[in-house]
Amino acid sequence: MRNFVLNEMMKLRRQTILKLSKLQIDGELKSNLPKLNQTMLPGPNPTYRTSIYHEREVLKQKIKIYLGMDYEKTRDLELFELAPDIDEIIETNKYSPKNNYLQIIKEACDACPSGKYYATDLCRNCVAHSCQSVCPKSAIIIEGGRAKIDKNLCVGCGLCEKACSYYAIVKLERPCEKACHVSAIKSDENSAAEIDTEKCIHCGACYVACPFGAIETVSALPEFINKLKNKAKINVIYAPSMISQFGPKVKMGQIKKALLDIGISNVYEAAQGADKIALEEAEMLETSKSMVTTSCCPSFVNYIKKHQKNFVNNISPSLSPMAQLAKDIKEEGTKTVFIGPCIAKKSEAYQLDYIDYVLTFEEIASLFVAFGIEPSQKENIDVEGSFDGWNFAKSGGVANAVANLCQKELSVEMMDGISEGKNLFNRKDIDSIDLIEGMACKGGCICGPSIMVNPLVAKNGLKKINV
Amino acid sequence: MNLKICVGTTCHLLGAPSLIDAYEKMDPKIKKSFNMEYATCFSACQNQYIPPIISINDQLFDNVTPESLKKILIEQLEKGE
Repeated sequence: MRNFVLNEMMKLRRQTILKLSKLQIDGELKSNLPKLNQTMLPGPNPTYRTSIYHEREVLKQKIKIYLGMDYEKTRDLELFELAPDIDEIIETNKYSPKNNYLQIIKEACDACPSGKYYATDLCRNCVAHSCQSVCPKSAIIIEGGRAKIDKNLCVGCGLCEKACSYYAIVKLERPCEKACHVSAIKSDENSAAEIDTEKCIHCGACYVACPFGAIETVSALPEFINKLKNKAKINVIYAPSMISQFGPKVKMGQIKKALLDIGISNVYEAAQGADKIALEEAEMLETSKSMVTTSCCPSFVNYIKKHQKNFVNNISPSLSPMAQLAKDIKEEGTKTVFIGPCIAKKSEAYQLDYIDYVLTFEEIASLFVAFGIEPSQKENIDVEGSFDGWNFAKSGGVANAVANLCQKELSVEMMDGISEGKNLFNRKDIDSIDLIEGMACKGGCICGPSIMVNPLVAKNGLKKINV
Repeated sequence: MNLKICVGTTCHLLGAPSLIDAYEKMDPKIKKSFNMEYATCFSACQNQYIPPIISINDQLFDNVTPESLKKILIEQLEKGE
């Protein structure tokens, strides 16, 4: 399960989104946008990096992404150039990112060293020199009283790391590359990170992992706020992982009420869709002869489609709970919005006709603040969905819900995190499995990329959901 | 002493959960002197206070981090005794 810490980078992201939403709601975006990066980082001393100008440049690129613009398409555009037509740009989604919801800001990427071994200061220049003895390529030389690795000779086998008694040899890996279990991160000509869109499954692991905040996800919030301001008819579906996300004092029903108060027409729980899907899959499994993989995690579906192509036909034909519910409630002239912790849902929604926007918890919280709404002071209205439906939010929950409804005894396996995928799909006895529940994020949706509280708190919350 | 940690949406978004975490993990010797409760909003973030905000016996402290929280609590304890 993911270790959740609120770091400076996340704080700046939230502050910026908050500021942007506030400006947009007050109709002051046009006048404030040109200097917004300076307002946020007034200087003269840098807060996060060595230079205030570098910081501001990075924030400028981020602001554009938070406004729903594609990084590549707007990379050379200054904020003052965009400001005069900003309302139109947002309304028409002029610089739409298409299906690339994860973007690397090259200005922010530190081009960290990737996968190379280094001998550090911990080297004591011991007598044994085991590192030298084990190295098959004689890449280690002793220079100035310590070991040094010749980068041109090193093949990265890692034997020296294991041989050293002082842990003096380390492997430096890019956090993004290490987090990505489908090897979708490569280097561009400046050795900055680049995402291979052919391989990327939109899980958001790199977005969480990058300590420089160089990976961002394009936001649909500004377009959504525009729709709200124009009094469009909007329906909201929220993910069951919303549980506990808004702090210890906020109950689910209060968030529902808060959403209704900002001008949403109807609020639905994705748990309702989950109940329907669980039943559908349980009925299907009673007669099905082949193995079925769940379809609720879009990143897991992408993973099978891109990396386990032999199993594409095993993907459950049921829609995801979000998609199913959205299909059921879609009417002409209404917009449907999904709120979740997920980046992959953005790409799933992009391919569907009946979901218009996907927003994250962070964005919705910012929206409440910008509207001056405090969910904890709202009335706690009823929420729908069964216990099992809500527990789709944690790993094991989907399989459990299906198994509870299925008349047949099922052999169930879980892929808890993409890292387990390879072993699971290479198993020899894979045909004997009835159902594989896949979650791209280890721990399930409550550990997703845009969560706001420690997953353990959310897990406890799910236990107490008594509907 | 009465310690209130604001868990209103702004404070929650900007770091209240990590303060709660930090408080829970603190030395029981410190914790026993405080009566901790969650507050919803001191309405202070509109007037120049930077979230997350806490209050100790109705005195407000802003821009609190898990590290500074411990310092503030100890300082207040020393002052109080």
